[in-house]
Amino acid sequence: MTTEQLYEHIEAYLSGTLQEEQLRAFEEELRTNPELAREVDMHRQLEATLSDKSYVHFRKELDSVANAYRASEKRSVQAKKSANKWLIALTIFTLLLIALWWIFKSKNNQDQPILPEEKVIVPLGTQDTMQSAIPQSDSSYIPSSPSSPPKHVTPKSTPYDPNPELELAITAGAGNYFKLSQTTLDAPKGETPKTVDISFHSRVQTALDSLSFQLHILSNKPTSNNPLYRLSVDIILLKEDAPIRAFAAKKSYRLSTIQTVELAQGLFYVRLYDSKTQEYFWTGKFSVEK
Amino acid sequence: MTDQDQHYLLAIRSGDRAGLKQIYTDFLPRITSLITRNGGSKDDAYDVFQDAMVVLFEKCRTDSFTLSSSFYTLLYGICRNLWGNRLQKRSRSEVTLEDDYKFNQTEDLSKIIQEEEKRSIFWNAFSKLGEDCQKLMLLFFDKTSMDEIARIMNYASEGYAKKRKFQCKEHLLQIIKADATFQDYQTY
Repeated sequence: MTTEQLYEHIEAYLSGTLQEEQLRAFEEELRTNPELAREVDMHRQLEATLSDKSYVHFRKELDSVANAYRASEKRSVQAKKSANKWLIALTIFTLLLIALWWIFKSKNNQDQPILPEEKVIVPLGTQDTMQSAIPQSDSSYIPSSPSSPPKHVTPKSTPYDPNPELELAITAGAGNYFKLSQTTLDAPKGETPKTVDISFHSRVQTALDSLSFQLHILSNKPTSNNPLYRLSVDIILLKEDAPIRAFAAKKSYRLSTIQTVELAQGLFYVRLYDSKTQEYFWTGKFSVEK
Repeated sequence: MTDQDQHYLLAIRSGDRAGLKQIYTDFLPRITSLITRNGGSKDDAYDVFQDAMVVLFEKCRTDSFTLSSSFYTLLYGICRNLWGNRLQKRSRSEVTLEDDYKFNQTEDLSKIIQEEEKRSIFWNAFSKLGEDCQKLMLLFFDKTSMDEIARIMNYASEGYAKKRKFQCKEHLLQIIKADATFQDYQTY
């Protein structure tokens, strides 16, 4: 049967002009063939829509009004667009300048901490001077005259000095993929000396699957990209927020870490690390008193 | 219900072009701001507004219909509901409309909305056809006989009218089948 014949058949069925024998055969086919049933349903709905005269009249009028509105909107947008052409060009240029400045600046920031460290290690070599040679903040590290030795310029660092970069990370959000809530971080002294009981709990909401997190403990030193500890994080699925739409649905997980670590006194930073993207998305801090 | 509200309803019931224009001028800006405040674009707002008008039309057709609140409240409620449905379908969207008991729909209205969303697919496909096919389809569904159609459309023969009718209908059904929203409705 060609498509044309099929359509004729469906139309005859819908208008009730199929003869007895044909009707019985068609109805039998309808029961067993869902594809045919779907096709017939489409024809039925199409007819219901287009044979409804007042509906057709209303939609024609409505469409012409709506199209006129859209067209007038587009015209005014286009007029604005051409008027704003120069403004847009100027904006792009400005943004470009800002971007360049920013790239330049962040490159400088990366270079700064590494250079003094390498320079100082070789001639002096002791743990103390190495630490004190690291600039603590921009304002205190100004090599104003080349004659002044670096030792005098750099202030003495303490284990409690805040790390500007990590302080900034604390205020940053959790990024696009994760939503953290009910986060608690506790670090009381442990039972044995020099130990701290770290306990971290949080709730994360995300659409990503197969999560893998670590909790990193970092010292306050600006150069310490290597964590002192990498603690495992237990992840428990709480519930699906929208159970019907499985794809891209957000799920809630409970994150928890309870572990005892050895730490000296000082200020420490705790960062939640996504092992998959290798990025941090939450930062907190605690200090260990004497 | 004010006289003005009565006017709006009349325009919708009769499909009066000037009256429909008036409704657009009076309410479209407010609805646009509702949609854009809730994660939609201006285009979304136009779509929702247009569909809301059709829902209102269907609602006006039922004999028992009277306005229990102002026209704007009803229109606003319908737009809210339509937009809420659409947001839900865009599963990636993080925007949700907060619950607002004032605009919760009656059983009857949400049923109309649901049916209208489905019916719109058929109408939108129809409006994509060429002028010739549109005219032919309307004549056909109006139960005009094939030789009559051939005469009105200036076709050479009844046979050709039949052939054209098939081509137009086939084209129309192809557009509908390709519609993503229509595929959503194919639940069985």
